[in-house]
Amino acid sequence: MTPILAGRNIVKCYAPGREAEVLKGISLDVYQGEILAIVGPSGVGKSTLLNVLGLLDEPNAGEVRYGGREARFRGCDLTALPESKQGWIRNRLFGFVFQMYHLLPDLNVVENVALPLLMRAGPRAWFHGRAAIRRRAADLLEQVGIEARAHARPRELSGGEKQRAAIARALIAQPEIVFCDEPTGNLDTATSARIVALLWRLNKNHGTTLVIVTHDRDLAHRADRRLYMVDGKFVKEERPAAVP
Amino acid sequence: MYLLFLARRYLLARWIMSGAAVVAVVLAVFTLIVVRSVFQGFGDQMRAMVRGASSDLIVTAVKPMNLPFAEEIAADIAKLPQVTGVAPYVETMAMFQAQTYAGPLTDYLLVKGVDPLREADVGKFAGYLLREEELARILSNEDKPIPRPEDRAPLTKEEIARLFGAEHRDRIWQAHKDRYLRYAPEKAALWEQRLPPPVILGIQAIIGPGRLASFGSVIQLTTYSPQRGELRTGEFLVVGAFHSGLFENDRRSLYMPLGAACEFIDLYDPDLPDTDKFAAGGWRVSGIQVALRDYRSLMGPTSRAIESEILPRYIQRILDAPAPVGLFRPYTESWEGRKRNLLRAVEVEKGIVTLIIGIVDAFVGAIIFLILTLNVIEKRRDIGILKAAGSLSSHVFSVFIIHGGAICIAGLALGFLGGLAFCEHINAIHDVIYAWTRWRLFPPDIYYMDRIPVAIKLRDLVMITGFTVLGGFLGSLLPALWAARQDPIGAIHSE
Repeated sequence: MTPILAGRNIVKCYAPGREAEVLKGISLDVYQGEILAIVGPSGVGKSTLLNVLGLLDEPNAGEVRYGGREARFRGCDLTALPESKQGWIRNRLFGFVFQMYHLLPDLNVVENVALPLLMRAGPRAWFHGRAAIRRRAADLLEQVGIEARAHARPRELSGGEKQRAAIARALIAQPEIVFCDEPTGNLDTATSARIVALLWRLNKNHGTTLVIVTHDRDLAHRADRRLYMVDGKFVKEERPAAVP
Repeated sequence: MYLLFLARRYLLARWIMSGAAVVAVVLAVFTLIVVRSVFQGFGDQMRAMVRGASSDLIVTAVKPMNLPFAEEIAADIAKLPQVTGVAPYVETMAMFQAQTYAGPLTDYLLVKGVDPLREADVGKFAGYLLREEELARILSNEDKPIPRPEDRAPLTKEEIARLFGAEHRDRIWQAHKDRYLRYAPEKAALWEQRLPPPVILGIQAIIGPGRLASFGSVIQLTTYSPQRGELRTGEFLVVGAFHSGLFENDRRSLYMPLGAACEFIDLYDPDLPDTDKFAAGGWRVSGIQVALRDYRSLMGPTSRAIESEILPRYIQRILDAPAPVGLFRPYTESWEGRKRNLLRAVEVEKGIVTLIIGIVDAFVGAIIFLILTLNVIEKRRDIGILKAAGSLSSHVFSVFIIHGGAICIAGLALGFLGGLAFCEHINAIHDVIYAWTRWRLFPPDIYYMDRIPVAIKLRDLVMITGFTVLGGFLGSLLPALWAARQDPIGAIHSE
C-alpha cells in the first residue's frame, strides 16, 4: 500500500555545524486513514518532525513525498515545492491541532472554524458563499459539541471548548491528514478523554488520517500505530497486525 | 476578501491604537493643507502686490538716474507691436520732513517721478490711486480695513489728470493752507505766488497715530543730485493718496509728476554744459517702464529686440558725441528680476513649507510604522496560525499593508475635509478668536493683509496626498515585510 506521506532521511538542525541535530535522518510512512502516534519524552524532536511533515518547517535534508488524492502532487517532494503550493496544500490537504489551540482572538468561534475556507474564497464566493461556509462551520461545531458557543470569542471558552473549536477548524476543509501536536497536553483527564473520543470518532466517520504527537502513553496506546522516538530517531515501532 | 476582513478586524480590535494613528494622520494632513494654503495665498498675494506696482519690463542704465534720450527711446519702444505702454520714470531716496504739532518730523521715503497718464498704461497705478471721496472715507474710518485695490474701480485717465492737475492742487491748498501757514508764516507769500508741486503719498503715511504727514500738508524733501553732486531740497503739497496693499510701499513711497521730480533732483537742466547733448532727448530718467501684451511669452523677445535693435543706436550717439560724460550702459530687466529678492524670499518660504510637509509626512510614516510594528509584535501568533492554515507570506503582507493603508486613507480623508473647511472659514475663525482674546494671529500692520490670504491649489492637494500616501506606505512597508517573513513555527510559539 502506498503511503499518503513518506518522510525520508529527514534531518533538522536548529544550529547548523554545532551538532545540534533535532532529527537525525528520520524516515517514516503515513498511511491513509490510520491514526499514527509519535511518542517520546519531551525534547526528542516529535513536534519538529510533525512540523516538517506538515510543511510548517523546512528540513535541512531529506524529503517528504506525497501519495494522496491530489494527483498533481503525487510522488512530489513537498518540501521542495514553492511557498504558494505549500500554502495550498496546508489549506486543503492538511489540518493542524495544536496543544495551545491557537485560535485567532479577534474572530469568534465560527469565524475561526471557517477560516481555512474563508481564506480561499474569492470575491464571488465571499459574497455569495459565505453563508454556506458559516453553515458548514456551524455543522462542525455541532459535531464537536460546542454549537452553543459559535459566536463566543476564544477568550470566553474553556480549554476543552477551545480544543474542540481547533479540531473543527482543522477538519473544515476536509483534509487528508490532520497533524495533532499534543492535543490533550493542556487539558484535564476528563476533557482529554472527550477530545480523544472526538478525534477517533472523526477518524472513523471521515476517514481522516491522524498523525498525533504525544507523550501521553494512554492516548498513544489507542492509536493504530506507534512510533517511539528518542534523541531524534525512531527506536521502536508498534504496529497492530491489521495495519500494513 | 478575507485579507480585507482580517485587516478590518485588526483595525477595529485595537480601535484606540488605530484611532490614535488616524487622529495623528488627520492632524498632519489638516496642518499641511492649512499651512500650505495660507503660505500659497500669502505668496500669491505678495507676488500680486509686488507685481501690481511694477511694469513688465524696464529699460534702465547702470548708473542711477542716467538714462538719456528717454522720450526718444520710449517712442521707439512704443512702436514695437507687442508693447502696450511705455512710461519713463525717476526713482530715488529722499529725506522727508513735515511740520506737526509736536515739531518737525523726519523720515525717509522713496520718491517716484512718473508721468501719471502713461504710468497708468504700464501697471496698476490707476487702481492704486484713491479718489478724494474714497480717501475721505478712509480718513474718517481709520479703524476699518481699507478696501483692497482690486475691489475699487481704477481711476479714469481724466480723473488721474485732474488729481495731478493745478485746479485740484489749488483747491486742496485753499482748503488746508490755514493749518500749515501757522508753521511757516514766512512762506505764505511764496506759496501764494507759486504753489509747491503736488505729491501723492501712500495711505499708510497719512493715517494712524504714526502718520508722517496729513492730507493737504506741505512736506519737505531732501535728496542728492547726481548731476550737481549736491543736496537738493524741495517742498511739495500732499494732494492725494494711493493704496497698493503692500505696507512698505504704502508707508514709504510717494508719487510726483515726472517733470517735478526731474526738476527737484535736477535731472534736466539745459543750461549745464555737460547735459547739452541730451537736451533733445529731454530728461535723464531712472528708466522706462514697458508693458507687454503677454508677459510670459513676450518678455524675452522684447528684451532682446530693445537691447539689440533700439539701444545700440543711442549708445552710438553717445559714443559719437564730442565729449561723452558719465557711464551709459542701458539694459533691460524684467519685473521679476527687479524684485528677485522679495520673490526669492517668498520662494524660500514655500520651500520651507515643502520641507515641513516632508517632515510631517515622515511623522505620519513613523506613527503608522510604530502602530503596525506593535501590531505585528502582538499578532505574531496569529501570523503563525494564518500560515499554518494556508496563508502565504504575500497574504500576511497584504493584511498589514491594508491596515496601514486604511489608517492613512481615513486620516487623509478626514484631514482633507477638516483642512478645506478650516481654510474656507479661516477668516471667520480668526475673527472669533480676535473677538474673544483681542489677539490677532495675522496682524495687518505687519503683513498688510487685512484678511488671511488662502489659496488652495490642486497641485498642493495632490502633493500632500502623494506625500502622505507615500509616508503611510513606507511606514506600513517594513512592519508588513517583517510580518510576512515570520516563519510559522517561530510565530506560533512566540509569547
